[in-house]
Amino acid sequence: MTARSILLVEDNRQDEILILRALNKIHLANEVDVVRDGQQALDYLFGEGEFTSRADAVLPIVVLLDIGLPRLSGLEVLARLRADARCHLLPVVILTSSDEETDRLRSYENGANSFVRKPLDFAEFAHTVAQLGVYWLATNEPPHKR
Amino acid sequence: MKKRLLLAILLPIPALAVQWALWRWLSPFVWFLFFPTVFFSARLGGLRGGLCSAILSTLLVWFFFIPPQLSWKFDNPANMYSAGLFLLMGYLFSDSQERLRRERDKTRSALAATRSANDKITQLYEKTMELDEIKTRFFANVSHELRTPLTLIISPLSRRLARPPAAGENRLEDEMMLRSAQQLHHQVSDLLDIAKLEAGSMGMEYTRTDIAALTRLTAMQFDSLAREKAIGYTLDLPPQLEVEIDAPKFERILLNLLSNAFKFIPAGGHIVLRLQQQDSALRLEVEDDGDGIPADLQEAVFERFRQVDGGSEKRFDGTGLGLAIVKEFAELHGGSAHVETAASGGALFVVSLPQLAPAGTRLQDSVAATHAVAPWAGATAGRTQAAKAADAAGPHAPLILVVEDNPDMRAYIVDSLRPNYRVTSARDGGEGLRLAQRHAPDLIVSDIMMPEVGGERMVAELRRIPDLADVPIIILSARIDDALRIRLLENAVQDYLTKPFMMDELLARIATLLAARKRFTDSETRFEATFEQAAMGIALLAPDGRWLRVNPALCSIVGYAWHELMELTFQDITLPDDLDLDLANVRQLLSGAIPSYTLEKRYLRKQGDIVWVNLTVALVRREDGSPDYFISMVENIQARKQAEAALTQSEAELRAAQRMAGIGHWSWDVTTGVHVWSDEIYRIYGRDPAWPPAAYPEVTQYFAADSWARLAAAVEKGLALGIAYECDAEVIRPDGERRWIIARGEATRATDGTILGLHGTVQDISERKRAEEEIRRLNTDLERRVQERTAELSAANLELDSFAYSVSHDLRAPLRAMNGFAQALHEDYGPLLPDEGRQYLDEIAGASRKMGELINGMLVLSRCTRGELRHDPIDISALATHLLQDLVRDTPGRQVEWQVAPGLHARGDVRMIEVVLRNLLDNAWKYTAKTPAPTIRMYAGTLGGLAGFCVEDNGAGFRMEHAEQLYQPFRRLHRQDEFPGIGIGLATVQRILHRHGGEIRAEAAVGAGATFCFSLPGVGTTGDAA
Repeated sequence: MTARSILLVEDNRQDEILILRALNKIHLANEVDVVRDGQQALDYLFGEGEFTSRADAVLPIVVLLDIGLPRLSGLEVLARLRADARCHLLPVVILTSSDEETDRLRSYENGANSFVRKPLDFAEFAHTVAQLGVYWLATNEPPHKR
Repeated sequence: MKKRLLLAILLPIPALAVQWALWRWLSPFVWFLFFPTVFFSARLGGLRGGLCSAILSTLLVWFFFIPPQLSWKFDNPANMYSAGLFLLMGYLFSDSQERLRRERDKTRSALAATRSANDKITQLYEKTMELDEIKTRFFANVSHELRTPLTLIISPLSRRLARPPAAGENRLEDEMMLRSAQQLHHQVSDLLDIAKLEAGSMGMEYTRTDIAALTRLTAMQFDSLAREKAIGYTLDLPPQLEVEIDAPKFERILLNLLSNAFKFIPAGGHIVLRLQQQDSALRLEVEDDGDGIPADLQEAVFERFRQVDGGSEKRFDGTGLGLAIVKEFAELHGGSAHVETAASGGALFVVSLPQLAPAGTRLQDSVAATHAVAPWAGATAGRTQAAKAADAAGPHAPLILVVEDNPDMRAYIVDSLRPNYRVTSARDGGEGLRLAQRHAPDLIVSDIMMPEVGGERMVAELRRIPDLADVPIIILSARIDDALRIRLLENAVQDYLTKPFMMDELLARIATLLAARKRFTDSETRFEATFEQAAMGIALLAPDGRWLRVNPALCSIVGYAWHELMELTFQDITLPDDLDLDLANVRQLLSGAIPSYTLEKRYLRKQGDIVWVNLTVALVRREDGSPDYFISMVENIQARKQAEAALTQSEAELRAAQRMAGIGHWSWDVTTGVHVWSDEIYRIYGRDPAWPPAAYPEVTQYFAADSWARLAAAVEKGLALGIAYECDAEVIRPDGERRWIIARGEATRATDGTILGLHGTVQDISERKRAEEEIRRLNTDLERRVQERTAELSAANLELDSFAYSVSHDLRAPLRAMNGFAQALHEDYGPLLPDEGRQYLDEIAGASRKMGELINGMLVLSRCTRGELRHDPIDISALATHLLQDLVRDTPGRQVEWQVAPGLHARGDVRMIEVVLRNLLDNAWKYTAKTPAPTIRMYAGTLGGLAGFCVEDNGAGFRMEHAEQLYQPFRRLHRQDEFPGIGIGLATVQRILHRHGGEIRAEAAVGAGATFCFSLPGVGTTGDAA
């Protein structure tokens, strides 16, 4: 069985590269799928729109979700996921550059499993992402095993 | 008694019980306990009790003890005898006890009877004693009580009788009254003497006395009586006879004997008074040639209450005590009194007395020895030596001149007066005149019939001497000459007494006349004092206006000396303007139209200034009705006038003030319906001041309808309940102009609290109303603008929020990219780059890090002005300690000595206060980096009057003139290469503190460190309050 994928929702190309680079550095076996806005993220997860082919695909093991996204914000995406029976237990980690308290609180209110601020410092950033990857892919037991 | 009998009869029963119990030891003595039993029964119950007890005992013994026991049978006949013997003995016991008891009872009752009789006798005796004493005391009291009112009856009555009778006046009744009163007085005195004698309180006071003179003087009292009754009255006395005697008692003896003689002798009879020395005794005889006293009654006349009637009719009144007193007094002297039949067949009363006092008796001082035993004349003892005695009265006692030719009478009068007055005496009218002129006596007592210059002539002469014209004179005369008496009393003398007179009466009349004279003199003196010392000006003026008399107060009011004023008239000193009014009043006064007048007028003072006075003038007329003089009372009212002027002035000022303030006052008397308005009210209402105040309903036209309704309600309440009111009202003036007023009112009350009306003020507040209106309009406008501004600000705030949000997100992302790729480049391709290239990459990373810090600072700054402010309790000490520990941990190379005072507490938003503390402590930490031995202290303190929490360091400090710039964002006082920083920390700190309502101050010197103190509201000056 192939390892379940990770979904990264990130509109900022540079952050995407840096995140992917950090994840690569820890040599994950899991594939990382990247979508660039909220709507795309929902389509991907629900198997709709351009991702109809994924209708029956397994859900990613974790979603790394930015807040400031075009079309649908990360918090809206989160709310929709939690409202949907298929995805309401899907582990979602908010990964954002915001350190606003309101963002943090709203994330948790909407059912985020974790809230991680993107550090400004590169080394720190890389380290944080690496930790995330290890934690969610190796340490954490997901709700659905299939 | 019954109980004792029952006990006696039942006594054998306990005896039986005891004997039965003890029978073992008592057997065979069957009667053993019953002998004493019967004995005691007999003692208790007498014959009956004893016998019953004996019989019962016999039966009991028979049955219980005589063998065979418990049976009525007996085996030995001897027992019959013993029983019989026992019964006999029982009888004998009982009988003897009975007798004994009876005897005892008899003795006891006899004793009781004796004792009660004894008690009764004692009681009776005590009662008798008591009654006797009561009687005596009663007599004494009654006599005293009666004598006083009697004297009060007799004195004025005789004075009245001494006055000339008015035309047609019937004197008979008065004379009868006087006679009865005198008689009663006599009797009461007798009773008093008897009471005293009986009480044993009649003491003897011996003096050495010329008994002949005393007798002559006393006897003389009867001269006029003898003349009146045409009785021959002969005195047979030695010229002088010194004896030791109780003079008042002797006088009394003599008076009683003479009274008795004069009482019982018919007209035309003859009385002889003899005084003789016989061996060592003194013999006084009073003989008359009347009917005499029968021999069998000669003893009885000396008994008390015994009167011997010479004939069938009782013509004479008397107590029947007089002769008893004669006898008792004689016996008190150790002498005797008796009566015998005279040679003429009349009575001869003989009193004999020892000439000398009993051996060892102390003789009284003759002057101190006194008087008043004799009710008739109040004779005084020891007059022979009176001349030698000093005056008893003080040097200021009234001086009395006694003019009397009879030396005895003169001495008698002088002596009687001396205790109370200074006395001088003259032998006849001529000497009396000379003495009167020399001594100016306060009173003169004079006889009429005197050799050379008689009393009448002397009085006439005296009255011609001005100084003596009003000296009171009392005439004493034996002459019963009504015409003379009337003539004298009408013209010259104040009082007239007929001899014999009572000395008490003379003394009383003297006292009365002197008192009246003193009253008169006193009132003269008082008037003088009043006139001279009055605070008010007083003057007597002649009808033509000349001053007759003026007092010092008047002189001082008008400013003239007394002699200057006396040369002027009142017209001279009256201000000409006021003269006509005064003169008009004077004319009315003189015409009799008015009894007096009062006016306020002005005098011209000597100094030329004017004085206001209140003048009251009355007119005194002569007896014929012609004007005699004016009495003027002049009161200086200058001060009052000035006060009035000042009042007028202040009223004017009040009016002016009211006009300026737009306040008018009014009053309304509901009882009279009178309204009073001050000028200003007319002005406010725009009413013609010539009109009267507007009353209801006219006044309604001045008000807007709703205003009037409010005002009328308030007025009604004020009038009914006395509630003060204050209400705004809109006034519509007749010219159409509208004004606003405040009407204030309160009740006017009488002293008892009833509401008489209202008074109050009307204040024109139109200006104020206009100003208020303007303010209201401005306020509304301001409010609107504030709302607008607030909306703008809210929008701006929102914008700022989104700006800050985007800063935090959108600025950070590129930064992170710059930093990240530079770092990635360094990591991945570092070895391929030349050193310079790697160094550039470091610069990129450093610049981006710096940019990140700036962004963070701006975020914090913007965040501290947004969001809800929380009020958490904050443990400042703990927070500061924590932050400093972080700093120590994060900069391991630094050695900073730091210190946080314990117990610092505050309230505030803990997130923000943490920012404050972090910034201040970071700064302190940062700026002490180059200081050797750096120290940081945090404590509660005061800086520049600001109490709060202080952070103090000994670091680089700054120049105080730059202190202003500290709190501006991005302004720094140090170069980056000295102390790195972004210059936003203190700006944030100040904003946070301001948001909390607090403040921050700093004090520093370059190189000497800096102290920052900040306050938070609700924190005390010590800063350590919770």
